[in-house]
Amino acid sequence: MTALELLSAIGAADAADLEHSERRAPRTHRLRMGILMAAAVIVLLSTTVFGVPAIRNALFGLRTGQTYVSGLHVREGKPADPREGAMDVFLDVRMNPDAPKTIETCYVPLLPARAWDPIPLQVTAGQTPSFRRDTLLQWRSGDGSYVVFRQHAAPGYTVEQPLDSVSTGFDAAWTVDQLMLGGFWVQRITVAPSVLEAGGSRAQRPGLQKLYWSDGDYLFTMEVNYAMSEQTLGAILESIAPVERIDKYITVESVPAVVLPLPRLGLTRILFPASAPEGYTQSRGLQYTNGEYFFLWLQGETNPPSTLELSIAPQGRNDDIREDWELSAREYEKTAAQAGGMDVTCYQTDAAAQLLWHFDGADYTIKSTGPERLPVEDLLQILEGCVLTPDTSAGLMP
Amino acid sequence: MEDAEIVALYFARQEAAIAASQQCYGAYCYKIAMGVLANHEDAQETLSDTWLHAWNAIPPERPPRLRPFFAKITRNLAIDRWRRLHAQKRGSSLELALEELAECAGGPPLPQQQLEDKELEQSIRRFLAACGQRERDVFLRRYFFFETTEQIARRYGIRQSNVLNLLSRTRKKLKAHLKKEGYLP
Repeated sequence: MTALELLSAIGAADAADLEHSERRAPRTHRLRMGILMAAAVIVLLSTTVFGVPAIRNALFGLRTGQTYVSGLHVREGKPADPREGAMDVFLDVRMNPDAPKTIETCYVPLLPARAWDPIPLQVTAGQTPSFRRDTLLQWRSGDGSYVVFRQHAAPGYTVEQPLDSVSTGFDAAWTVDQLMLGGFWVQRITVAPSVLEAGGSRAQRPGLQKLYWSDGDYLFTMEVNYAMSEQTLGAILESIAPVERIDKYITVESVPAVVLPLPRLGLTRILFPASAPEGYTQSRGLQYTNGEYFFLWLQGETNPPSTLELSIAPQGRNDDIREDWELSAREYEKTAAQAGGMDVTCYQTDAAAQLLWHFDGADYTIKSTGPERLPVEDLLQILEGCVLTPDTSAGLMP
Repeated sequence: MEDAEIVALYFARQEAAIAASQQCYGAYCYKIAMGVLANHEDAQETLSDTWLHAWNAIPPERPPRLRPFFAKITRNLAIDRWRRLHAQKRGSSLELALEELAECAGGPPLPQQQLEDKELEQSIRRFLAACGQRERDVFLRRYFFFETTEQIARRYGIRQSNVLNLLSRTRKKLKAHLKKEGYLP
């Protein structure tokens, strides 16, 4: 086959594709304002109708269950306040279905790489960072600006699977917009500075900008300080170039490996559900080296599936979970119940339901999440139906 | 004038169809022909051939959109002319495009039967369908319309180096695709 034959064959391209290629990048201010307005509407809708997955997916042309290598799903959470749950922001960053699964070409924003100070990556002594599927580079300048630049190989995330979390804190204003920077359509989440009040203390949160874009092969994310101008952002993106040796741009700081001694759990019997809840199938059954257990059941009719988790840990290991829930107890329901002869603490939000109890010197939890999660009442019934089994390998799955 | 009106003129066998085509799409097709031939006279002659070709094709054809219809005719005629004149004319965008595409080609010319069956064309359409939108756009601007990388960069508001990178990656993919489909050893 000659090059001329190949060139002639390209002449058979679809008319629709030819017409599409005629389009030009928008340049006018008016169009850009239109895009900003559209983004504002999306933000507005994301708090209303987009909250309904079916509507949101219909609007974005997505189907539940569709493998979604070409999209980006950001979960904008408020981890400081679990009562608020998490709000999902769906950004449309297209990637090629056949994009590389591992990083074949590394990209670096040369402007900060050459002019700013690197922020060392902390790695355990004796180790080197692996950049097979993701890279991480970060710099700071003398005026308080910083850049955290990441390159991700084809992530293959599903529709409902969060790729990222953007913590906004209490009452922080946040916006989503889209702008053309360095030749890419970049989607940006901007979180304004705010004051975080929790546990009786106040903390200033400085705000940030988080940018997402793709060149079709890789997904890029960049976090920068709130005050960084669009001009600087543009200059940074303009400076992005492929490099042959990314290690030249990395500063590594070795930190001694810290291994926290885990309390051991040596149980001779465990409480285990006599049967899986209707519609649920066991997916995991693990025992960790310190003796802890983790079991997972999935109800696979939704995407993501609803989950049911049972964990058994040494006593005291659930204290942090309790603290988290207690922080939010003033708005979300916390109840005390009796089930299976045990005192059970029940928590329920609009995102999860969880039971916590002690038994046999161990901390037990059952938790349900997902679109068709089980309410506290159902979890209590599961607990009632648990049997005490001397077979401590019951339910373990390879 | 709307496309449907021009097509109606062709169907009515009125020569005004050619004048209307020239008026609406003359500059557009001239640019395509110039991209291939890099010569004003040759491009003008190709344009005349384009209207003649369209006159013979419509009817029976009734293209829904004339822009891509004329683009394809002009491109094919320009490539044919370029083939005939190749020994004398140098430096066109087509020549550069051929040099770039040479990395995706190789081996002897395809058998005549295979060309007539348009198997390679189908394969290219499958490849383009699997490309990302931006990849496809840039690829077509370069190898269908023979635009320079600078023109493409301006069109899409991206850097020329991005265009070069994108084209390079797309050619690599095309080569892999052609290998998979048995066109390359």
